[in-house]
Amino acid sequence: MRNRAAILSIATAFVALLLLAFVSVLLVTNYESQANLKATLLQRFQAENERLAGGLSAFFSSRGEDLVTLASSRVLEVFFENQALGMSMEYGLRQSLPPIHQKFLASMDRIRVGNDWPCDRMVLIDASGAILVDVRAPGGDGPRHMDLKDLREPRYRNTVVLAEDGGDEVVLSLAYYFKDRYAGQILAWVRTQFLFDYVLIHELKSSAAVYFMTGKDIITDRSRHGTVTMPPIEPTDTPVEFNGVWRDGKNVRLVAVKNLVMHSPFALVTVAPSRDVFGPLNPRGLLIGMAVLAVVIIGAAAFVVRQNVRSMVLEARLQDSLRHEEEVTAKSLQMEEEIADRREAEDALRESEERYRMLIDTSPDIIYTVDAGNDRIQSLNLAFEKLTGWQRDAWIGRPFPELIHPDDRDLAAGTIAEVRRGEPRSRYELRILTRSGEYRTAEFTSNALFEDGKVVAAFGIARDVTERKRLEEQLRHAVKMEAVGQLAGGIAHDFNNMLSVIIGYCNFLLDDMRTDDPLRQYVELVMASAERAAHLTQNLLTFSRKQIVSMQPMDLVTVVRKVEPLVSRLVGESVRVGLDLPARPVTVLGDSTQLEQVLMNLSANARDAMPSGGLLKIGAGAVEIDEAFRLMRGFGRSGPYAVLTVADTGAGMDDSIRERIFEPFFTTKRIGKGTGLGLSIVFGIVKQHHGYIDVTSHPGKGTVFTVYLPLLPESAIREDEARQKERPRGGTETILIAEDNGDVRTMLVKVLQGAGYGVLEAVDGEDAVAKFQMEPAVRLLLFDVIMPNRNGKEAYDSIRARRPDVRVIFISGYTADILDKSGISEKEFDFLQKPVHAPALLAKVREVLDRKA
Amino acid sequence: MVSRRKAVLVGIIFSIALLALPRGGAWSQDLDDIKARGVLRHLGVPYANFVTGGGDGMDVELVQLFAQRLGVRYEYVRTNWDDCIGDLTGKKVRSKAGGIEVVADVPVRGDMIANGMTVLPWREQIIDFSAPVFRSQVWLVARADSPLRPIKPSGNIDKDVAAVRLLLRDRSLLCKANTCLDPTLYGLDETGARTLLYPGPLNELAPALLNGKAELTILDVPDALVALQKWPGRIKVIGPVSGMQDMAAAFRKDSPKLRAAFNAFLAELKKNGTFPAIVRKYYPYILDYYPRFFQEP
Repeated sequence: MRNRAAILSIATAFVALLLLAFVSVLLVTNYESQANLKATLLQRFQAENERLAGGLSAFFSSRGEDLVTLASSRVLEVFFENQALGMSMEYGLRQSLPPIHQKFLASMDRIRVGNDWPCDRMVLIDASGAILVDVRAPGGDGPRHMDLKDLREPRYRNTVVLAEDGGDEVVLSLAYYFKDRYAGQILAWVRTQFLFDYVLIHELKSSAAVYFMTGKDIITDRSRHGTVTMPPIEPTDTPVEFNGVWRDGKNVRLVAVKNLVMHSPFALVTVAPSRDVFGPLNPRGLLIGMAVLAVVIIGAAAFVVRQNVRSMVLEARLQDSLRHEEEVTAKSLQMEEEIADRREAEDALRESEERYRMLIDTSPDIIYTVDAGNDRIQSLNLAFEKLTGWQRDAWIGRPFPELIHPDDRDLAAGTIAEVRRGEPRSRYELRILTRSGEYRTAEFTSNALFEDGKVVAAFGIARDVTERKRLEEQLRHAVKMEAVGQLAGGIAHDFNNMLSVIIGYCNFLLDDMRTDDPLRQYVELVMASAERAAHLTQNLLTFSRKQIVSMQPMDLVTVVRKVEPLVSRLVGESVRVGLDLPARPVTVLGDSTQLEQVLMNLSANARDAMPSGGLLKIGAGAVEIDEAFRLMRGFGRSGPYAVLTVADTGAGMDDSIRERIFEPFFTTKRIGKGTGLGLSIVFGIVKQHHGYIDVTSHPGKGTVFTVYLPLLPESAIREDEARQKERPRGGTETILIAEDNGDVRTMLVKVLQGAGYGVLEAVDGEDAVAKFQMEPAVRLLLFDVIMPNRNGKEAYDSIRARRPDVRVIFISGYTADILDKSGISEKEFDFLQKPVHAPALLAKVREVLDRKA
Repeated sequence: MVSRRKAVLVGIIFSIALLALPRGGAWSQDLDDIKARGVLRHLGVPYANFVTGGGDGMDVELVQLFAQRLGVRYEYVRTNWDDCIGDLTGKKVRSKAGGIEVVADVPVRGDMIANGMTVLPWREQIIDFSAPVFRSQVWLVARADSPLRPIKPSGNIDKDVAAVRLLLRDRSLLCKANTCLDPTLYGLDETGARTLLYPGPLNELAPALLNGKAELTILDVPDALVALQKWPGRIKVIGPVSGMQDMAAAFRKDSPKLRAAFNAFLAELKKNGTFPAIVRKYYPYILDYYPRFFQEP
């Protein structure tokens, strides 16, 4: 029995020892397993807090960028530019603030979540701390009062985050500089509640408490109701365990970890009861249990079974956690690959867009798109900036018609309407407003841009054709001038021959008449009319730049007084003529007959503008053209100018007529009532006198023409008169005249013989060469240029081959360019224009004969 | 006895003749006639954002709603500043010192003018204005590079105007005759300024200033606000040359019912918030300048 008991005891002891050994092995294994598991859970707890801190950091960084973007926006710059110009809030400056208000509101709205505004106030204060713009979220009471002057901080050139007392708000602050001077501060308030509600709690999976801390001070705990009592958390990035009071008021073991939030003055602390973090793990308890189990061996089996079951549960939980971690790791890898793929695709897309943009921007033509819905400009290429001087951004989003000349807007609207219907439109011209305020003409081609079968935009190309249009206009003008010149040149020769005879014989009559002869006045009238007729031809040639005018110093006042009786007759009795002339002479270098023509033509124009009568006022004077004058009028070279004004009280004219009045053949009169050349001739004459002409007119308020001519000193006339008073001397030399027009030839012979010269006559070039061979004493040739058989130049060349010292004067009524074709240029040869005046002829003959070889 | 019979007969014939005459004169087109005709003709000069010329504008929307209220078709009749009063009344007029001068009889082309027309005494001599639709003032404007500095507001408009007038001596000043920017309305010729009358449209004054046509110009507040928005940093407001002014719709003097109907309609739009909404659409910032004007009934 004893043996049996002993055996049983031994067996029991052996079994107990075996059991104890077995349980001990199990307990040690279990302790190590739980210690490892606790370390893993603690790492996860820490990683969770790091992730939350990272999210907060990203949020503050993003809001900081928002403020930097606002600070660089044009609307802020415009306000401070206008302020720098001195504008006041009452008169115009306030206009610059609403765009800033809108910009701020848009920035706040962009991060809104439903009806929750994370940023519920944005403020712009000036350098003195005064509020310029104060934007608050709709429905929000806004933050507590704070003296904003204290928030001025010129050092904050990058956005900084400030903690406000009480912890309800966080303030983001950025100094604003205008032209390198501190101009104010941009401030934005962010609600900490939003950070808890959307940034932290959404992400926080456990029931832990979350705190913001600045230094050692806890700002707030809004994550859950109730407070937690705990000692200061000193170390960062390392979890700590301690005894504290949890939110339910019980003393428990707590675990906490603290991480810094970048881009802010905060640290983020997460606290949780140890049991929530680690579960029922208690490795030390297991050691105590081993001692108890050593005493209670018998119950060890059941305890061991129970412990084994718990171990199995814990093992399963650990396995589950590890599997979960592996899944997370796998998903993270997959996500990184996806991010890499997406980044690669984005890079490729960016490169493609870059190439496309370069292609668009290097185009010399404007390429644009316009929203088909509201006609607003969607895009513009670089050529737009080069062509117009505008910045593209200034026009993106603005109505396309605003860019177009008001007169072209109907056409622009029509073409957009066609494109909106899907019909392309090509080669139409619109004038585009440039930054300088001028308009440039562009040739447009437009097409529709479809999306889902609907026209969403108009896109097209606009080519600058301003220069081409100008050249076309110049060409048209030149062709017109050429036509007039051809016409004038064609009649000039015959007409001048006839006038030469009339004027020449009038001279003879006047020379032979007594000064008191009653018929003398008639001859003088014939003479004057013939001279005017000659000048009319010359004026027509002058206007078409085919005539060379002979200028001499003259007094404008004298010209006006001379013409006044003719003007009075011209305008009729219903128009009163008034003169406004200075007492002193106004001297210019000009052709008197041409200037008379200017006055007559402008007077005729005034008469036609006053069919019911009125006042025609002619004035003269002097003016100094300076920089201010040129800026106002847009023309003129600096210096003293004579001024001739012709003003009427007639119907006036609008801009469209005023711009065209100097064009050849432009007339507002009925067919047959005006040639359209009158003002063109005026323009041509003024230009040949190196002057300017200006016209101001308003419908119903009359018209004023102002002619500016370079002013000469008064002494110029006296010197010229002295020269002219010298009566041309005659001579005894022999002169050979070649002229195919018999009347003219006879007149020339008579003048020269009357002055004592010996004269030989020839009827053409060939006859002249023959006559010269018969009479080698000839000293001077007086040759018409255009003659049958041989022309004047050919005859002269033939004679000169025999007698190089023979001298020549050419005369002609043809236009300058025809003479050039005949080899005669006024610069190379002595030349007289028909109709030839006797004094001028005698003076020229004497001058050429007396000239030293 | 015979003479009494004759007198009665003449009286009857005269009465019949009077009844046969069109009521209100040859041009009379009051509310009843417009409803009978079925169309309301809106005379409009393209100007600022009142009538943009592109088929919309603050006054275009206002009159379109009015036509809708009357139950008639809306018809826009384009006109210009010189002719608009003639197109409404049949009398082409122009302003002269202390009054107006009738220049010619012209055809009537519309029933009301609405394009930001300023209420001026000379205009009131020939047309009636509705209740004020817009608040304005005339400001002196210069290019940003002008040596003139904007005045410092004194809090008193009269003093501000006087301060601005002192700056005008020997300066070239671009104005527009026969409009609210006519220099004679504010005695600008007496300041020593060289006034230049701009022949082009009113809304080209600011571009003309930028193109150097003159050193200065005057603009009313709506146009100035548009210009400040279009050319930020290129122009500046020197100060006021006038007191506060009202803009309103204009009616013939023989269209009292039409005018009364418009005034009632306008009051209703102000009350239900439609009017401020329309104003904000075309002048987003004017409410900051005159907030009470646009919201008070």
